Amino acid sequence: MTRRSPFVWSLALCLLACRQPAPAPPSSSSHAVPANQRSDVPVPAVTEATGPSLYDLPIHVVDRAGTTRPLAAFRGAPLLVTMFYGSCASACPLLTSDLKRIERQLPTGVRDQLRVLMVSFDQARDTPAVLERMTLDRGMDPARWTLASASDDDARSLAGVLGIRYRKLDNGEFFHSSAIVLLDRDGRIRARLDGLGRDPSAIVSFLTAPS
Amino acid sequence: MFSRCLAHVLACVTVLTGAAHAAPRPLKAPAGMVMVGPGVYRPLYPASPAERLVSVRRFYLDARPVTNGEFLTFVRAQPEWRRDRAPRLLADDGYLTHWAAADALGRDVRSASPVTNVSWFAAKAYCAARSARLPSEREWELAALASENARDASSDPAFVARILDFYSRPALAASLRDVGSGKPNLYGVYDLHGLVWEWIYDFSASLVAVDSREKGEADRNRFCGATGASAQTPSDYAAFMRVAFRSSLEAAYTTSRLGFRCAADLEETP
Amino acid sequence: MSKDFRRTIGVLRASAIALALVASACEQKPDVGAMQRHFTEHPAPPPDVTSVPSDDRIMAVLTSPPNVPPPTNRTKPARVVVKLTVKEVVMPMADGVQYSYWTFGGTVPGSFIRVRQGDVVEFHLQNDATSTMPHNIDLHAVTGPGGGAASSFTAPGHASQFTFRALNPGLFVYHCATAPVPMHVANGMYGLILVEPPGGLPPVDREYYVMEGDFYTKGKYHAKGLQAFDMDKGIEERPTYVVFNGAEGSLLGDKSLKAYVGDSVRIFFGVGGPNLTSSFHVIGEVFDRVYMEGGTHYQENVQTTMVPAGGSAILDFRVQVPGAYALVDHSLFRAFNQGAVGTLKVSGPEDKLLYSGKQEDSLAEKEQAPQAPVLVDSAPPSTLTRDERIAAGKTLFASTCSACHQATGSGLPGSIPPLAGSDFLVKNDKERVIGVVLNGLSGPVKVNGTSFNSVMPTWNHLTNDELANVLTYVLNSWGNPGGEVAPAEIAKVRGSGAI
Repeated sequence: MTRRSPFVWSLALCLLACRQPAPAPPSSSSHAVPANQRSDVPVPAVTEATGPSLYDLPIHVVDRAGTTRPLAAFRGAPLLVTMFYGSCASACPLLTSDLKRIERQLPTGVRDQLRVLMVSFDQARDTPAVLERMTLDRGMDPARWTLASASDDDARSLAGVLGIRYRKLDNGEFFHSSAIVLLDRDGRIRARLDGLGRDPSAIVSFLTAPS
Repeated sequence: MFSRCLAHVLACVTVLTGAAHAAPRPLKAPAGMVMVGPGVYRPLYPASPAERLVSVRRFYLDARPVTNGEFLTFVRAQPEWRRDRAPRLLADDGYLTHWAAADALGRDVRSASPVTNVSWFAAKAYCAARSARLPSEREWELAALASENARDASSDPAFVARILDFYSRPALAASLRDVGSGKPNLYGVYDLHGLVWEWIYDFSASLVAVDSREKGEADRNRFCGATGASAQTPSDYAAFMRVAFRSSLEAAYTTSRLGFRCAADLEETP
Repeated sequence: MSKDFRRTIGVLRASAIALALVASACEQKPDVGAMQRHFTEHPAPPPDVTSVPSDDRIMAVLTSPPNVPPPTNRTKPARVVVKLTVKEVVMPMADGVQYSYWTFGGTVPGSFIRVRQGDVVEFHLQNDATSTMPHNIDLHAVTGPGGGAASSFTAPGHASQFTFRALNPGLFVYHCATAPVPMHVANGMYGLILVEPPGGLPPVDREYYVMEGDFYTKGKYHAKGLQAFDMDKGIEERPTYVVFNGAEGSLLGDKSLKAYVGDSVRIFFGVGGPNLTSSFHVIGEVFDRVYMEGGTHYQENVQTTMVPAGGSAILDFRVQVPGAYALVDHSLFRAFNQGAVGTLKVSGPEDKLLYSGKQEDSLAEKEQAPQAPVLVDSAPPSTLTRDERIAAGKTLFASTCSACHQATGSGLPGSIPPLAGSDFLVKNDKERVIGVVLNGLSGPVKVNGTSFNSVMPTWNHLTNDELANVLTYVLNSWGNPGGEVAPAEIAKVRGSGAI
């Protein structure tokens, strides 16, 4: 595809705006608008900056080094938080690839600032050794990615503020919802993706917006 | 099929033997609590085929929901839980707003009526202060199965209708009646139905009814693990409504009809 | 920042500038017709999603039934904000019957929402703090999982927001989809959202909003007091009430729909369900156009249109003859025995020729209702004064009798005998009159010198009190001789089986 100047593109689009008040059905909507500008896909709202800080939550996580850290230790950098359990064979690898996909859309400078925290609600099985192996096996940048676990009580509290739901089954598996939540450097929720494989533009645009 | 049946039989046997072990050892219930169970509970949404019946160990449960007066005592003892001090992360803007002041009920709020407008975090902190905890879903549902004269009244149409009537009745903002003014169920527990909704510890394990029409495949990309769980008895609308209500909550939420009661473990030696 | 990223920003900035220029050009020349012609002559280019202004927000006008918000009259999509509050309220379902409704906006059906194709709709759903239940909304106009249901699931005292693009034009049902879904719908949680096509719908003189719904109460039809929802009847699809706009009589008497001779009238009609499909009909009218299933195409000259639960239709017709036109579900027991009757009152000059040409439609009323089992009224008779009886009887007459005998007691020439100035009431004794109402009447009868040969259904399912009230009202209205009928007199005739 030959590259045209941005102005030609925008002019063409805007002329269409005048001549065609009705957008066609979604089936015919394949045209050259960058994915992150597509407003026919409802873009999740970016939360206003007035919300409470998650760093008020008095909970702790245990990382792959076996170190117990308060959640508030993550203050200071934008943070993607999600919850998972390590032995999950289906959705959890997808969650990891969603996180990586978000990272790939970020300019290097922005990506270097970002931290990722994945908290397991399966503390019994997701020992530091297991988390260590996962970090390495799945090619996560150990400088920026923290895999950790939390006690049952702390995991319930964290899930309660992240809007994540999970149920432990008698066979040791978990039935859970997936969400990726973006916290700003002060711990306030700024964007979220509910489910897997969702359009990450809300997260990307917050992170790339001039501060 | 055979193995599934066997699993049921074993589950029941486990419960019975558990009871037999514990029976000879008299236990004194904490103040305000009564002993509930052991029993078998049939969940509305079995998480897996093996969990169509789940066994619940014996536990202690508050005979009555926590009252405004009791919660006021707690707030005075732990002022970080006053409505003007609790962080919004842990209790939303509605927290204790029906009280006249941060440390006073005022004339319009009855001391003996159930406390509402409390978050999960606040409820959990209250129970922790009593060396207790919130009941689990299984525990609460087991206790709530009992009518005045049966441990499992789920097939008693009059009992089910009474619960349903409460859920479909209009919310009267006016003062709630005092706790414990009706009749207790077989375990001696009051007001599990007909007064307020109640927090449970694992409310965030209720995740099916966000859109109850989504079944199996439809929501696979939101949920990991077992899927395809569906209600065993679609006509059990009362349980449906509890699941729906719990699913709508987040831990900081408060509502004018949502209270709680505490539970405690039996100090049992195996 | 990467090169790609800079390029993206560049596109955005250039687009914004060009868009501003073009948008102002559009506003100077709002020739919708020309654009439409152009649009039909050429295949549709792909939708221009960037034409939506992200900052200018329009608050949607919401109306309660039977009113409809004005046309959007917009030539391009906009960002529209809809704010809807769920309320659980006790309201009358019929005379003396109360029900605890769950509503979108405090009414059944819920507030009417009107947007335009291509609009980006920012939807705010608030659940009132007094609510007992969590609620959400599934709009059939939404293209997206659950129609918004999962994104709008809201606990009491809280609020949710989600945004959708109104891709398809049409008239769409919205409803609550919280478990148990049928119960939420059965309690009244439904409404309509209209997505106008570009250029809007053809203009008409009057637009109205009517929805049919079935209700399931513990007590039987017209059992007094606050009625609880009956789950078993719902599962078995045995409604106690089938009504328009949430309650019996909500479109009768003073609340009738109104029009003038010569008006073009449009009814946005929907069926909330939860169970029944409607056979919607306006007695004495033919729909000139029916946009079937609320979609783009219309059928012409339609008598009765079938609308499924969770579906809709847009009905356009011109009223030419003054009078009262009954809106019915032509599944007639619903109209006669469960409440599915409303009225459109048309005023203006008469045209006798036209009127006689339209009469055949009223034959609908000749369909004979089989005999209902006789219910003996065991409630103790009330002690009302004559004036109180007249007042109570007036309400009952409006909801029950006026569909045939008309609110003015004039009847319908050729089919329904008049009650106004009726010599039948003078010539016959009270017992005979009571007997007619209790047991119905078929075969020829002469009233004021004119012969009628129709069928009047039995009304023995009404209580002695109700029958005494309505007869006292009739005896004291429209130049009739006056007097009073007591419940005991009804009981006596009921007991004797006299006609």
